[in-house]
Amino acid sequence: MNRSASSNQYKEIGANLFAPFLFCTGLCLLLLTLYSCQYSEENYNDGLNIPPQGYHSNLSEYGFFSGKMRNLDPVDSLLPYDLNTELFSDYTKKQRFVYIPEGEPAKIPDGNRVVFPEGSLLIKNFYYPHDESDPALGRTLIETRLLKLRQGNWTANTYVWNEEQTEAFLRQTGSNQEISWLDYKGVERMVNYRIPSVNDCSTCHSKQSKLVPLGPEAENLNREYAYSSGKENQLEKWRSRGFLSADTELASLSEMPVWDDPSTGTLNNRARAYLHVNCSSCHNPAGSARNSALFLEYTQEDPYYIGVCKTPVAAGSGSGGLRYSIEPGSPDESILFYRMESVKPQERMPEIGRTVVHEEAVVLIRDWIEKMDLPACGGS
Amino acid sequence: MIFSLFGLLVPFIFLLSGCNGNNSVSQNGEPDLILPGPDAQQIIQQAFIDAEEGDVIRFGEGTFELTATITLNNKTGVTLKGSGRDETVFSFSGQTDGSDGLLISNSSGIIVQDLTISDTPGDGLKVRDTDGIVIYRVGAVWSGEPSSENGAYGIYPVLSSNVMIDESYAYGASDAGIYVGQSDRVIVRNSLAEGNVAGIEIENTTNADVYGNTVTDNTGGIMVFDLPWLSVSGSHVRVFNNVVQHNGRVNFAPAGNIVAQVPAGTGILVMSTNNVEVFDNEIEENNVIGTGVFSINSMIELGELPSNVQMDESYNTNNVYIHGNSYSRSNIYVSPEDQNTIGNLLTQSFGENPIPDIMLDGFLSGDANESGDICVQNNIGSGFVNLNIPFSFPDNISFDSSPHDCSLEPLPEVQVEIPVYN
Repeated sequence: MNRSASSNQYKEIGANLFAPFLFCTGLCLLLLTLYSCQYSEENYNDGLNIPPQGYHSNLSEYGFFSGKMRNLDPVDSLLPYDLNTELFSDYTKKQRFVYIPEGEPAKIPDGNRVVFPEGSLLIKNFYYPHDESDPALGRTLIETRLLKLRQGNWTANTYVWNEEQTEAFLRQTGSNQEISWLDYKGVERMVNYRIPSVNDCSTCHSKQSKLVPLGPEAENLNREYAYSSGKENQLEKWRSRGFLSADTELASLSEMPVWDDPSTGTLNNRARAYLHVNCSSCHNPAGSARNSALFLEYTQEDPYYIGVCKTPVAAGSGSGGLRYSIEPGSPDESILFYRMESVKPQERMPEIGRTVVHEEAVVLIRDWIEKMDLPACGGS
Repeated sequence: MIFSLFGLLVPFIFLLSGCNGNNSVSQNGEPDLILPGPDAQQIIQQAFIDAEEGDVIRFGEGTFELTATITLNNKTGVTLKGSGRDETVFSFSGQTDGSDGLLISNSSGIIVQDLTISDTPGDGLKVRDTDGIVIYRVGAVWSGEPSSENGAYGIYPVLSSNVMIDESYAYGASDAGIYVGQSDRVIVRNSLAEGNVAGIEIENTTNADVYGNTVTDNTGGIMVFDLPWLSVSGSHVRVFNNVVQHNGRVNFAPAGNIVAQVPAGTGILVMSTNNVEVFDNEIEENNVIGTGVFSINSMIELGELPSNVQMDESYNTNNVYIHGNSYSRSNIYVSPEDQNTIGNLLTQSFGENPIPDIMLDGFLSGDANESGDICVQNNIGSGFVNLNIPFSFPDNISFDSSPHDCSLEPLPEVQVEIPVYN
């Protein structure tokens, strides 16, 4: 039986009282990593090893992947999935998997929200290809995030991959990693990638102060995926697989546009899809930035709440000295655009998860504001 | 060699104590103390993640060099205690991730005391979605001469309830030193705010008592504002027994923010809110607006807001009772090029004459000859002016205070439910 360390029990050295003695830190950390306070009852689900409480210390303990772990080949109980429009995370690529225990499937009660059953698990791997134009040249896995639903509550944690790419370790306090890669134009890019602390998760993954998943909304999942068995709509696959309730009506579900694929939606709809995914997790009437009264959900219809001629509430220097969140026709006079273009910590949006400019999205939003068919705001 | 052996033993002791499920109490029963050091960021963050109800996380003396926001999330009954406001400093001058210094969210019954947060790119201490928060002897400061590059808010509870800010200090914020936004049941007392754009700002907040504070050398001293268009409107704010003096600093707020509209030389400003009582304050040398009652409608009338914003009677300020305050002033102003539009309008309207200390903009609900439920009584050393901005400003400025010689029912004392602190 494997050992598991609950999140409470996994600690690094916490007593700086002993700071003078920290020169043996390496050995101590090794001992700590090997150490856990108690054995807990394991819970084997469909070949996976998911502890009922807390989290394993090492990613390999869950048994998510067959063969070499770094290849991320999922075992049969997991399904890979993609999203139509995904959150920008400093140009990382992501490989996602979902696990839903046998028996009770997920439901889509109101056309978009996916209600997951007890025991569900979402797995999201973040990596950089060495060369974006040639995936065969390999990649660097950075972190693997888990979202787990137990006793009706979601919790989140992240595992940081080692340099050898053989294992990933639970790390709750956040850290940074210097990464460089060749982008699709052949330009060498660098980023000081931020792995979030477990508390950072709740900044975005929060609705009415409770942790929630963000990506897997029905409209965003409603797309094809190239499974090993062939191409198939993801939600149909989920339904036939028993991940989604058999009576789910899929024909009436709409699809969220792919922000950078004009064949999937109008400029307005693609811009709104991008803002929905990248902003509305905080900027919605129940989110952590609701005090700003800037609401960027895809379904928001009031131009004022989207930011049109809206003065800021608590932007500080994030206003960039500009007066309105969106000045129709004038991206360079719009705070929303300014904050997408800024990399200063106190100005950039999203506040966390982005340290470099998402240049392609900036082009989209510039175009969207320029072509916005609404009167200028005026005022001196 | 001796040290090495010691170093090997100590972690084992710590591991044993860790199994008791409470790492904040060491073997001898004394709480652990986190000291400054290269790993402080990780150690503090882990301690916050692991904290359990009743824990006191203590910080030693010295400067903690931190590079990312430290967050306390979803906790009940935790105390974060430094060794003194001047002794324990969390410095964020090298911050690269997140813009707040210390962020407390989705929690209840939290005490932060005896430490200072300095030089955050964004806000110093932000408290969001929290019920029951004590901020006691806490500093939020930016080094050097105050600058628009500084973060917006020093001490910043928002979307919270049962808030106590006591004996705290804010310096250098490019918006408000102590800012309470969209919260309910709040006390801000016995604190010092200096060198900020706004010293203390109570915005869209209900049931707040602001007393015993010293607010000096800011652009404006104490602001009680409602921004319309938000889901929460403020009401029932008492501002009393404060010393509000020498607030004449050149406004350094980034444009676009509402405090950029505050003239250099403002003492207490009440705007677009309801049920405010301002009494028994010492208000000295705030030379443009000693105590003002204004409305967002004035900003619209004077062209300081977008032309698509329509005036609305609901933006008027109602039920303000200004009484028992003492005033003194000179006629020293910042130069016109250092003053903002509204400040220049006001100083120019009075020419060589002193500007009366108590000022209404004239957007009153009901008949303008009536009080509009703005009552001004028993103040010492103050003049009075109604700018009558809606009536062809500046042609109908009135110095007649008699329509406002009335009294209102005193507002009740605010009760907060907070953990006991000392």
